[in-house]
Amino acid sequence: MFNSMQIPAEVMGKWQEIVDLLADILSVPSALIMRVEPPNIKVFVSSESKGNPYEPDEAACLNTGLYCETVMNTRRPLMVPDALQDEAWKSNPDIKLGMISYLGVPISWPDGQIFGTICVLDRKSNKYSELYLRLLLQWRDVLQADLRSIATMQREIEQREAKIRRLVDANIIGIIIWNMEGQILDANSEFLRIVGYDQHDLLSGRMSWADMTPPEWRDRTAMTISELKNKRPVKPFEKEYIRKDGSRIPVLIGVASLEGTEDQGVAFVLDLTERKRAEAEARESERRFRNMQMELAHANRLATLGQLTASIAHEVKQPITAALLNTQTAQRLLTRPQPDVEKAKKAIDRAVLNGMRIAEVVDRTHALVRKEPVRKDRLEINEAISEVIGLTRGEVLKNGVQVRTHLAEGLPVIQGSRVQIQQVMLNLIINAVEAMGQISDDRRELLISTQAEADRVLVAVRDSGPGLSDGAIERAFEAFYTTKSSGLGMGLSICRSIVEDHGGQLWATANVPKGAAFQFTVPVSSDYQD
Amino acid sequence: MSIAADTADRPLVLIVDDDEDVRSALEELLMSVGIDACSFGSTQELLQADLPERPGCLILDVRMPGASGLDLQHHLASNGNTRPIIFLTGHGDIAMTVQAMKAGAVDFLTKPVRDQTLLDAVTGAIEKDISLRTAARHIKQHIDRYAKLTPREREVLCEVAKGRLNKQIAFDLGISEITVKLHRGNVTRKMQATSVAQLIRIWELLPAEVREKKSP
Repeated sequence: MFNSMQIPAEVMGKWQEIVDLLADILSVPSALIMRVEPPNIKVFVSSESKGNPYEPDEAACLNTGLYCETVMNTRRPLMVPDALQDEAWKSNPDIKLGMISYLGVPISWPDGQIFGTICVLDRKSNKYSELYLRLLLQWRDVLQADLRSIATMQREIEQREAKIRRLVDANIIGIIIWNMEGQILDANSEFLRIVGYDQHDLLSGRMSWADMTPPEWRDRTAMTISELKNKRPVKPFEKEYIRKDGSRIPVLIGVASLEGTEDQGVAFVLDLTERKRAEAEARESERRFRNMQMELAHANRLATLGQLTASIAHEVKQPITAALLNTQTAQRLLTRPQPDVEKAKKAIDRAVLNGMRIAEVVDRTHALVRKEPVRKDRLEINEAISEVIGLTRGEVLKNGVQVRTHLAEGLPVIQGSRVQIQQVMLNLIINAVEAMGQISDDRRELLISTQAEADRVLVAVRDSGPGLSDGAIERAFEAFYTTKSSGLGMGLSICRSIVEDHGGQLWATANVPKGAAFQFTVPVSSDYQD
Repeated sequence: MSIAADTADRPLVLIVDDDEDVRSALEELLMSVGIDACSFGSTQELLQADLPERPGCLILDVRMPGASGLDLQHHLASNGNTRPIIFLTGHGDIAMTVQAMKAGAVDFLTKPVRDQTLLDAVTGAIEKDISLRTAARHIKQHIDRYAKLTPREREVLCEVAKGRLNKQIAFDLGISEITVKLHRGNVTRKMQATSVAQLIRIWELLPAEVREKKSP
């Protein structure tokens, strides 16, 4: 496993120094570090010393009786003082280069595998003192320490690479290596799946992220490239790719430049198709929910208004009565023997005002009956509440209820739907009136109040009815919970969702000394300025 | 509104309606035909007002905050106030109509109402009030005159009204026939009757509790 391992340049430099020193100290022409690369052994580092015949990277075949081969096989130091005098070494290849003496020791990788040798050779007979052997062994230890740290580093890098590889191969996200010219240099299969290309396309080098980017996204992409060039961090962004079949696919992309390369980068690409669809579905179901809520709210308004028909008729009939009386009075004043034009004009003026009031009442009622999307406008809550009090007046009177109002003056404007806020008031008032209708002869009082609180407006509807039990207070806002024989029990639940939709709260408490109090808040319009 | 003293015999219509527009329209309509009118926003306002003793009627909205028109009707009736009442309602509630009519309302009109219908009802009610007032004034005179009779004269009147003869009366009271004749003459003069028949009619008009009072 270590055979192919790169030795970093700075280590090579240090090793060069070692062999140079070695050659110098021992006064020999050659000091070498050999590295075995089966089936060869090559000169890995060679001393820059006079008369050294070995060039770095020169390779020799193994099994040719080299000195170093023996050292590696025996894993022991070898000293040959004079090969020419030694029967065993007479024919070794180094003699041809004139090297007749040799001192070498083996170098091992941390796992015991042989790396090669460190050795010195001389053209003349040389007995190499014990001191030199020790020196060589010391240097050998230094080299082995280097190998140990290289191996450790290598292992770390490999582990890290394995992790990255696992990530790339897991194909959870698409990963590409790309260059500034627009090419995709590498991509994992998830990326290929996203854009509908295959391995063959990738290997052919034809894949181009620039071509896959739709025209409307080119500016955004150019911006990213320039940010990368300026070494600014680039946040992941959404874009689209054109797939091989011409369709578009939405993706989230994060890019970074590759360290040490000027024009290359890595990018992760996430397929957003599912998420976009889920978002669209969520929007659709939200829309359906809104629609249903609108339908329900509308049905509730109709039901509530249904209870109020007599009251509304009364509310319309009052100004109609006045208008008719005024016009008929005018007729009388004009047709009598001495017509009184002045008074007749005044009567007609009053009739006109009556007519306008009729239109207002009708509009008001119509707004509540109409089914239309909710619009939140700037709203004066007191005015909206007063209108509802007007509409419910007949119902209130029929039930012998006294209405008192404490509407605070100068309330801030709220942001809300007039119809919806009126619907809530309508429900609360009708509920209160009905509740008080159940009690026999006690005073029936309805107190409607508004007041400003920090950043919201508080509206309260208090009655002097039988009140709510603790359990009923908790359950009052549940859908389909009702204590009445008529009605669906949706009223308060709808009211609560309306109020919450306005960013407020609706709750019930006991009223003092008796009855129930329903209160709700609506936040003050953010653009309200005094 | 100020009600001048010299208008004491002119009819005055009282309007009670919580709706200001309706109130003023009614008032102006009545004024346009020369009928004095005065309006109130609630029954309380009416009850608190210092009302002149003038013939007229009441126009009441049935449904109002506080005490309703029907409540007011009861209240007025129990205080001996006999002004005829015309009810105006936006609802045409049958049960309510029956209740009001039973309690003595002269008319029950639904809103919106035609001017002529309303004016006819008002005129009718005023006439009714005037005749009621005249009748009441006459009865009052009879009561005043009756108060001036002596106990014996009252006894004689009572017996005469029963249709008894002078001698029967004389026998029953233990007095002479001539004395009975004398008493009868006094009674007829004091009660300002021109005939026995008229004297008997006056007697019958007297409230029962007055007739029971034998001594002044």
